[in-house]
Amino acid sequence: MISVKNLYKEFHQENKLLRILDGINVDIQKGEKVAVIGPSGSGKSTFLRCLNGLEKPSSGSIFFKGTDITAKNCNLDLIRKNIGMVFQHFNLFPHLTIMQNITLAPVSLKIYSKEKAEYYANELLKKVGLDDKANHYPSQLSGGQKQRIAIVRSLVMKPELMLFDEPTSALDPEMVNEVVAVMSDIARHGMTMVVVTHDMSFVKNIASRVLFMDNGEIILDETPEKLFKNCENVRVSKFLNKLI
Amino acid sequence: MKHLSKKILCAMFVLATTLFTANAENKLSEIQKSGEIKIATNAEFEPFEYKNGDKIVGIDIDITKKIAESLNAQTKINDVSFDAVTLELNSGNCDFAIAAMSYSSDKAQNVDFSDVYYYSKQAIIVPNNSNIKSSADLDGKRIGVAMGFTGDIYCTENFKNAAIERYNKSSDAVLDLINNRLDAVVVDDAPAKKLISLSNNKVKMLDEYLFEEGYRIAVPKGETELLEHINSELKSLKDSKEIDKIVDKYITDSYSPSIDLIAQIYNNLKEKDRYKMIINGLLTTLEITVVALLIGIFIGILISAVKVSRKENFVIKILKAIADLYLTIIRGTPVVVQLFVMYYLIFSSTGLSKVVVSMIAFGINSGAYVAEIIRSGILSIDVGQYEAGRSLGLSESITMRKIIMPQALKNVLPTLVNEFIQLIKETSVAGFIGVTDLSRAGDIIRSQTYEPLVPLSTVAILYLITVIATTFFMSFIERKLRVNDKR
Ligand SMILES: Nc1ncnc2c1ncn2[C@@H]1O[C@H](COP(=O)(O)OP(=O)(O)O)[C@@H](O)[C@H]1O
Ligand SMILES: [Mg+2]
Repeated sequence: MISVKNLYKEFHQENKLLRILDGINVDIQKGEKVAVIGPSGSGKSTFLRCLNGLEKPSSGSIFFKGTDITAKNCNLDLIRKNIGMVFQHFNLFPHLTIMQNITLAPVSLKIYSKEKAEYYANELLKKVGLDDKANHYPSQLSGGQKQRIAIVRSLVMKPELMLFDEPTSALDPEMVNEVVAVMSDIARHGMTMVVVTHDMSFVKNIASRVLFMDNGEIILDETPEKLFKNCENVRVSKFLNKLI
Repeated sequence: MKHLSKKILCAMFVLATTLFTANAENKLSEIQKSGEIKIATNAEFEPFEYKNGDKIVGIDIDITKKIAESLNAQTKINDVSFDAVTLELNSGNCDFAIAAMSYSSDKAQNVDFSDVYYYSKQAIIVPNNSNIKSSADLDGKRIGVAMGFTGDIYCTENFKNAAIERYNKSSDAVLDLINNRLDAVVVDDAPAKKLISLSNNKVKMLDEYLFEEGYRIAVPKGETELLEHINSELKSLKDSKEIDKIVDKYITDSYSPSIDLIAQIYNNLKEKDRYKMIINGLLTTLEITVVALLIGIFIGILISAVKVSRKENFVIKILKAIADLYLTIIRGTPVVVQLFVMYYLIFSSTGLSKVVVSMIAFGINSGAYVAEIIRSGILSIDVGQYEAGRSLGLSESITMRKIIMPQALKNVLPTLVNEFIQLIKETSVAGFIGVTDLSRAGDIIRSQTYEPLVPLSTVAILYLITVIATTFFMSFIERKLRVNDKR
């Protein structure tokens, strides 16, 4: 579904050239649940944001279902309809109700009529147990509730791929599970997922594949079982030991 | 400074009229056809033309009516600043200008003058105890004149060592004379007599006159038929002594100014329904401000959206350049110059009313400031909002319209109200093109009653009340919005 070739990303900062992504090559198949882990600052977010074009790579190409999304003439808005993104800080729209948050994109883009979008949104809200919050504003919800809404907001577009950037990092510990439960449900229904995370329960129970990033490179590409059982890489095992 | 801008305006104007004004048909037949005669004047020169309540009256106005009668036409008066009277003529808005004007070779390049209908002498007014005894004592003194009037031109040319103070109204000059800010005032004979009586005889007129001049009517260049008709009509008015009668009527019409406050309030507000002028002025001020702010917000949203756009295509680059040019020009020039350019150049031949032109001018001016306000509001919105919108497949413009702009506008609402408050006060400049807004209404009353206290303080209090009410209303709205946030 996704094919990343020779991906480089550089930032200029105070006359210095920072290389954030240093030659990434990876293929992700339909239905895979990929966890991306690694130390902070290693380029995980930048990598993820390249996958839906929020970040422009310095060189290299990314193919989504055969289309090069780094090409100049590529219509990113069309691609993004098929790629959901969930952010660490939820990024709900504070001036809109929960229902409006969810239906804004499908109605504006004329994917569904308003009635149909609201009906579908309600179905999804029921699934995540928040259908009573439809007319509330984001500021009235807890962090875990906000993140579940953010997931619903992406799901309503019926994406083929979901990107998550540390979806549980900003949550109080007791709220992590409600979000992971929703993600696990999505995973069970066959969604292709790329998840940047520090949450090992996700890596252990849901992920089918783990990418370990360090200094802008993928230095390990394994199944979770292998990663936890016999890890030869010193840096990776050090990192894992700190987490567990 | 004023003179410089006047000359530039004149030059631009002549250019603009030669470029834009189509060759209209002969004014005389136009008047006869439409049954309406349109004149330009500056109604701040008692007793020739001045406001009485809402009406413009005076010697010149009565003469105009006689001419209109001879053509079976109604009179329509366009009241502008004295500087602007001939400009108004050139713009094609008016058939002739009558404003106690005397011949000057400068003006004769742009307009044609009629025969003289009234001979005026330049009087010298001094304090009762002054040591100025004749015109020979004037050089080196502080002399007050009405800007652009004959006294101004004569004194500037002849008293090189004098400090010439130019006033918009000769009554203001006399007030400064009484307050010892001037040594003498040079002004036309007829208003001089009236001014002296209005000042409670605190000042006097020298026996010697400075200069004698003849007042003439100005018509647009080349309107020979109209000019000939006016000249023959003036001649018959002079022969029948009609003009003398008119002059006597206005010069003998005087009253004695009052000293106590109650009488002043009565005289300045109640008398001749002057309070109506104040109320209408306040309404005009509010109208101009509200519409201007709406225009400003509209422009501001467009400009700020262009300025923060992340697109990098050619069209956006051009739009950004235009936006920068607009911001530079509007913020780099005084609003009064912008108003003049709008009124005398851009909209001169459109027939839009002064109030509408003011709304547009202040709206365009305000747009530049509102754009910066909204831009700062946009920049204060977390970039995550933009990214969330774009990640959902929304285009930049939908993201802007539905997600960023509503939040940005809500954030900058208090600052926008400040802009409104600023604008309420700034619109007082509209008086320069003759809009009777709140400030000018007070000015007009002051020039009629010669008592500054009541009109000025009434105007000030009304501005203050408007601003305080706006502030109060705003904090109410803000509290409401905050409650919504917490819901
Ligand atoms: N717009 C930017 N300009 C400059 N440096 C950036 C920018 N975005 C990210 N970086 C830098 O890139 C590095 C990697 O960032 P990121 O991809 O967020 O890492 P991670 O998500 O793994 O913590 C960090 O050191 C960060 O400071
Ligand atoms: Mg990150």
